[in-house]
Amino acid sequence: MADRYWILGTGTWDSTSTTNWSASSGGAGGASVPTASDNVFFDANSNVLATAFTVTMANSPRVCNDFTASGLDGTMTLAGSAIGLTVSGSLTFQATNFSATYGGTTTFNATTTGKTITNNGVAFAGRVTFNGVGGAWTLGSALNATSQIITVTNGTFDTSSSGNYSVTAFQFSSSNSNVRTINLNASTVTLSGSGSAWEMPTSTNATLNAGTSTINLSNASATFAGGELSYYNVAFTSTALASPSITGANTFNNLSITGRTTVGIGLLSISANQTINGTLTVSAGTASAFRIFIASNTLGTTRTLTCAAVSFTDTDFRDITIAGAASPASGTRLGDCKGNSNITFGAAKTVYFRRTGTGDWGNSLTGGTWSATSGGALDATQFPLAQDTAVFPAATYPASGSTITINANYNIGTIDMSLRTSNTMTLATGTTAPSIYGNWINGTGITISGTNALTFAGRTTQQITSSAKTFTQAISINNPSGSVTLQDALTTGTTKTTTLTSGTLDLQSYTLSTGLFDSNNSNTRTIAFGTGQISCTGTGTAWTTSTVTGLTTTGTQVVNVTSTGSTAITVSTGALSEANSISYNFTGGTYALTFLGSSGHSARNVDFTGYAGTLGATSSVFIYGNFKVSSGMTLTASGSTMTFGATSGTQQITTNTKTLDFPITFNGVGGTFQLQDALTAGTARGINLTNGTLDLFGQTFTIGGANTNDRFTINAGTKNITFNGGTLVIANSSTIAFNNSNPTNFTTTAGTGTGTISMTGATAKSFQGGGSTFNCTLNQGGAGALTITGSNTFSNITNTVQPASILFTAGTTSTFSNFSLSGTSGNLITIGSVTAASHTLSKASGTVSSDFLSISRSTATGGAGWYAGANSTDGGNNTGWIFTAPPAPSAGNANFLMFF
Amino acid sequence: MTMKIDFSFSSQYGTFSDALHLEDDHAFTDAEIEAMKQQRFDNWVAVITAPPVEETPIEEV
Repeated sequence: MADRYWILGTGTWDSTSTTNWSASSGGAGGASVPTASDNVFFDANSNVLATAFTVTMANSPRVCNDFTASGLDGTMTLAGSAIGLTVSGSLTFQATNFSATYGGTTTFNATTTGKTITNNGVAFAGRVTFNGVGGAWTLGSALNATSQIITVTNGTFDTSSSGNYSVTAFQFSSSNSNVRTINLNASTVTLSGSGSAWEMPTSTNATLNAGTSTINLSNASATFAGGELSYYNVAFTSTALASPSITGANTFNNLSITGRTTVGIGLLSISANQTINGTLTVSAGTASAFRIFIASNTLGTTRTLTCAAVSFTDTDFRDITIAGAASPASGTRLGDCKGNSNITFGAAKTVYFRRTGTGDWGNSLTGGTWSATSGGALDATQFPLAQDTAVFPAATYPASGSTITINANYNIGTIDMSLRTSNTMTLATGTTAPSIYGNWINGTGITISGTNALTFAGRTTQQITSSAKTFTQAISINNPSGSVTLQDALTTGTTKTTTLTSGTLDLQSYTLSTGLFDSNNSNTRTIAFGTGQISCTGTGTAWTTSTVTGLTTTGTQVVNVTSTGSTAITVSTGALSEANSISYNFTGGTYALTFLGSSGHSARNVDFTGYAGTLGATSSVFIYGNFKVSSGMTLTASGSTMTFGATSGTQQITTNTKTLDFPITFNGVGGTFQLQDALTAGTARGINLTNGTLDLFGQTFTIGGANTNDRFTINAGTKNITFNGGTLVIANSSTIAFNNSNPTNFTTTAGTGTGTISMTGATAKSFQGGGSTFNCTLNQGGAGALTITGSNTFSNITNTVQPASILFTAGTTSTFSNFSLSGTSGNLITIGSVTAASHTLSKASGTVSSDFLSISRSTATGGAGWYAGANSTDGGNNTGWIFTAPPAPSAGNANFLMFF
Repeated sequence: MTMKIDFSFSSQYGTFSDALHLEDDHAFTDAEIEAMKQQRFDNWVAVITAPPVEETPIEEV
């Protein structure tokens, strides 16, 4: 350890220059640059004569053991932009002739006790950090880092039990798990920071000895993150309190909140229970409209304040329980914003607006704004509280044409403007965001203006009567145990969002028209449509219920997306169950639409009639109702499956000639999926029938083209194909083009007319029948050989191309009501077995009348006459086939026919 | 005392459902009430078919 004295006035303190360092006060230069074990001195001999000088630090950080600036006879500036100073010992600044302008962090890193910090009123320009394991620092004077952060990382920070020195900073921080101790003695700590002014959310291994200290938080929006420690007095001292908060379950002696001297309301958000062993004081503001709002940080979640005593004036509470000796608590003009216990509020009252012209909801005017009676005397004590009803008289108060502005985020009970009809009035909220705990009733003479959200935050039923007046604000519903019920149609601006955070939005069968709708959270909430509908008129994310946890919908759930423009729109439905699923109508526009774009998302009826934009690729999604594509829209191909999953009723699918280029699954036990026009699936897309009835309803369902297995697959489940004259065209060629590997509980129904399964692949393809009964015609409709596996039953078998082959699995019996295969001259239909063994064809009665067949390994049986025709070829190993034309009808029969 | 008259209009944009809140002793004729209903529906169609208005950002001073 050596001593180093600064000489020669202005110079640079860097890691190499020895010019300004001497081994003695005023001695010769050239001494080595101080190390962390050397003491540095700045004294009367550090400058030339008594001139001012600047020591500029470079090469961060500069290090020393003790730092002493004392005896200076000229003003010294310790400078260095963003250069830090690490002091391993003690520090002393001279009260006069000294300033510290360097912007880096001053770090005290001693690992032994007994260090002293004496900055003698000289403010640190940069941060101050105490970080030495085993180190201990005691203040020798007030510590001033007014606009900076003081951090205790390791060691013991002590404000001095004898001096009780003050600490002033922007923030005091000690949020870590290191072993450290903070002794506040009887000091006053004043913190000016917004956000986390006192920052100890992680207090592991921290010892806080609060003594009889006072921590003052002067910023209007300071956060006290106490880390569940015990403090003495803590005060929020701003007279314009805005949005301060307390986190952690802390203990205080006294906790006080200063009243406002400016109009408005300050919200103190509390995120954990607190214990106040002395007094919780919320002081009165300048007027009753200058209020403090103490609330849980989570609406609906109670915070308990255990208090020995309280003093409340002009204070609103939400989700607060007062416990301890102060319970039940009372005060002056306390507002009940719901969820409170053990607080005595004044009885709900009705007050009347009493000012005659344009003005504010709350002010400091003599007499205030409100009266206890309609047209009565102004009374400053009648400011409407959250449990009250505020009435605007029919006339005069205010005069027709006036604008009344809700000029703060006030907590308001019921606003009744129903009497304002012929006498008009504008109720403005400007940029404020008031909360409503009662009803909102417009009269027909009302105009609403404002930009920020109106929050309906009650706990019981809240009614909104719009009287056809558009709300220019967003509407937020956060009523965890109650509902917001419409009394008529409600309309908001096209750029505004209606947000359902918790509780029930009950349309009461009326129409809600809103720019956007957002209920993307996990709270318990319900949208009760009744027969009402929600119209989303905006662009962007017009609708989101992406997170559906806790969401219930009732009634005939219908959402209309009404944009007629081209700006992109996203509708994020979430994965609602069938019962909760919502119908969506897209009524116009050419916009790009993201809809059903996330896995698991669902919808009930989907109707694109009028929409002419492009629907982006859908994900693995569910449709529980009708699906109607418009003729003017474009659908994007997707490899993810759209599942039609309705479990009751008949769901209609209308494609308007558009190809559904994504896999499709029908999977709704008890549901029927009915085509309304031809449905063409993408050439490479698989179709699955798992549960429910696929009703072709006389239409053509065309599947596949790419030569991949399982273009149409019957899965395990209870399923049916009803034809009603419709045709299932399977266009691909593959080993298993039609795959009925799960024939259990698989049925087919002919319905009205003759249905067909047409295998049109141009190369070899397979029909895996699974031994089922097909109440339809199986048609060989492509040049590729058709292999039929299983002992199946068909209404008929036909061919629409020739030559072609139809091969049956050896050992199987295929049963037909009709058998209509025939080739033409030179274009034979080949009937054979897949392997060198015979198959059986069975028809119970009547006559098979074919021609131009080439038959081998085929046993024809069942009772019918099997006439292959005169032009057919016997390829051998056949039984039961008659290679002639069928006989002409007998004379008796001819005579019988002639009779008719 | 007021009375409430519910009404609905079906349209290509969905069903519009609303209510008139009138004094019990109102003097409106049936025709006037029907006109009020129609006016509300017309206003609603105008709102939902109007191009969205982009909000002008507030310039920081």
